[in-house]
Amino acid sequence: MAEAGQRKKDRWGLFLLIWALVLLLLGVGCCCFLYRYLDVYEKTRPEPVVDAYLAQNSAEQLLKTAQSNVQLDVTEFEDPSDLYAAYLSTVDTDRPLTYRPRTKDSSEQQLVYIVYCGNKEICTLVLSPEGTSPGFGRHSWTVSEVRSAPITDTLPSLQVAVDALADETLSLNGRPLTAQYITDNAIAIPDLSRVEAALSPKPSFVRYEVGPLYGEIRVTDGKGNTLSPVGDAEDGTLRFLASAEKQSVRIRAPEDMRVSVNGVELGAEDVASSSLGVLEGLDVYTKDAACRTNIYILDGLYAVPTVTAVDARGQSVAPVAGADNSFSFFYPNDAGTEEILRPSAEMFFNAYMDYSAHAYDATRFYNLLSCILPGTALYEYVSTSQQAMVWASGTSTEYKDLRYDHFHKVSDYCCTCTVLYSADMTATSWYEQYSYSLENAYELAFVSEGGRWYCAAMNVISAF
Amino acid sequence: MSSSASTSKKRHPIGRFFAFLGVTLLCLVLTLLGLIWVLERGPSPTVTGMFTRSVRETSAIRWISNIFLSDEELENYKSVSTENTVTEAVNTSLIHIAEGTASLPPSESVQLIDIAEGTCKGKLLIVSDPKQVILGTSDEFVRQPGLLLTDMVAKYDGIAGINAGGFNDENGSGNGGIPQGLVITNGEIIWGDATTPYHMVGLDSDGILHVGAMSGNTAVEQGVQWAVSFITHDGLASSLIINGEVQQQNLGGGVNPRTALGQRADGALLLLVLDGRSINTLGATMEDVVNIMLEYGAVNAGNLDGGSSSVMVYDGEIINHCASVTGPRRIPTGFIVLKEGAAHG
Repeated sequence: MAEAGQRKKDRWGLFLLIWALVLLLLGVGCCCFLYRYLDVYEKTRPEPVVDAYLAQNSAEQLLKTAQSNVQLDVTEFEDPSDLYAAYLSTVDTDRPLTYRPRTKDSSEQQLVYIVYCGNKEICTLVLSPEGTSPGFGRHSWTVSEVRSAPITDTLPSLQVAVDALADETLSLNGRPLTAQYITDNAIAIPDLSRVEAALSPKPSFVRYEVGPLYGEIRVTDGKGNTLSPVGDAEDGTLRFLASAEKQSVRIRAPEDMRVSVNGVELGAEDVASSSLGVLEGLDVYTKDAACRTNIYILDGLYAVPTVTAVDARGQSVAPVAGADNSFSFFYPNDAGTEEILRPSAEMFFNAYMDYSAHAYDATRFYNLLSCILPGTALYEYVSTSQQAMVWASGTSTEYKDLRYDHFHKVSDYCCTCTVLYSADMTATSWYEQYSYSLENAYELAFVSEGGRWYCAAMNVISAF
Repeated sequence: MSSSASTSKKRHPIGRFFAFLGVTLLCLVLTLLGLIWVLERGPSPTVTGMFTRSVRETSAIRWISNIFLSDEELENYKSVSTENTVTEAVNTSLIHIAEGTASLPPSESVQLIDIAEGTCKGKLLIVSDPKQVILGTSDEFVRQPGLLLTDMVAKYDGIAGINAGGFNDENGSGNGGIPQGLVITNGEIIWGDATTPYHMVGLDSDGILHVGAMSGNTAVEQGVQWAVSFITHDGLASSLIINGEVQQQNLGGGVNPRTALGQRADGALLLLVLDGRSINTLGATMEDVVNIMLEYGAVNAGNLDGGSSSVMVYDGEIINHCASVTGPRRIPTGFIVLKEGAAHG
């Protein structure tokens, strides 16, 4: 019994010893495994590779290396090399170099580190495995690539929005801002005049949007004028408003005509001035029947408007459209008056053309004067023109497309009409040479004196 | 004789059990010591540094670092940055708090993100309106223990929160009743000396995050409304990123649970809690915290109390894996995210 007990004790002791040895062996194995792993871990750490690379390369060298493969995704309005230069100017290369891993771009076959100079990201180092694996699936590493920092992320950027009329010519940083950058075709114009606000559709701006832009921003209009931004950038957008050259319209119409612009009837408040016009000073002949002529001037228009008028009888009247957006309305042609007045009108204007198209000639001069009512401003004007016509000996004028219109009876002794024409003017004298064509119109007032019609006043309407 | 043999037979199984247990435990302890030896004196200085810094940052087991390393040798693995009491001031012009963030819908004003970066795991709370965040405190310092973060968030009727400053925690047995360093609430210094420089993490009345070394008086003069201070057991100061520049001297440290507060250029606050000391993740280094903060656009960031104190509460519940084996710890301070429309200031 005692022997059996002793044997049992011995077996238990042996078991305990073996168990302890097994545990210790396992423990030693674990320690060896850990030791071996840490050895490989230390030898395959990528950080010393990065440290060594940064120790061998200054910030300037890294930037130079990175510049060779810089890829900037910028708009056509910016030069990548300018942007890189701008970026370089923001890097203080005296600051220490540090680096951080970019885990989202790293993998078992590639480690990515961002290198900073101070707080500025200057490049990205890509490490690739080198040689055979020393075990545990780990690798030695070597710097395989130096990538440029995402420069566009480090430079301040702005969106540019330019509001302008659709036909406005614009440039951004010297390059044309084309329709492909239009993002909105119907930007409301805030300061529309009354006559344009009534339009349907109303005039509107288009909006060009470009971005992001990282460098200088210079917006110019069609005349090369640099536009100033509208205030500071808001929400990352710098706004410009192309100050489109606004239109001014000058309308001339008898006061008893109702004039409408873009369908909006003008009222007394729109009248800039009022006068008797060509009938000024002819009260004796008009017998107080003269109608005043109103001048309407509308400024700040974004487009040339549609101008219409109706006379006192409700009849539509077509304007004589002149240059510089001028519109002149006259009474509709009265056939009866034309029959009476036309011969006198033609005689006067033929004499005027004959006189004005040639060098001074006494016959032509007196022939013209005979058609004009003495004592009028017109008579005085022609009388004093002799000297000018002598000097104009080198000029010649050819009248074309002569047209008489708008014969209107003011009273039994006073009528008006218009004469429209084009003329080719040429000067060939030793002191003056020119050649041009013009279109012109005159409003003529005739009065009856002793049974004959004389021209009493002559107003140029406008070049048209 | 027979009675003695009978007694011996009865005692045998118990004795054998304890003998077996003793031998097993002894072998495990020897193995553990062997592993610690490999970690502390093995072939990888990197791992040695990481290991020693990790255990030195904990209150309860920092003695482990001394098992195979002398104090002199440990000095090589210690990075003391707290002597630096002058840091660059936060440039408030770099922060442009977007107008109208306070009126964003809740889903947009507070965004919760799961972090899984390398070996780091945790939670990131992005709060668009920085004025929605205040510093919460326990009811009364010293006389009462600290509060669980869930209770602190509830006290301020908040929607979320993270732990903030450190507290007296000798051997890991502190009750969170006595803060360490500086505590400022509502623009008043309620704990700490007004003239002593602290490594502060705080928010001013505009919601701009300030980090760096400054005294309580200086902080208040700069408009800081809510602040705590923190340094690790190993002497690392709290500022991690100032004006976009990483504060290299404050990096180092081992892997541990971490809590940090950062701010993006648009003013959004980044409340980060990283888990650790678990099978799931060992924890994060300061570099890891910085990398995550940079990845999410932080311009300024400061480290807060970590380890078993690291905890994030959202919607009334702890949403990270608290490293404390005894459950969430009581703490004196926490950054609280108020409900929308309840912004401070």
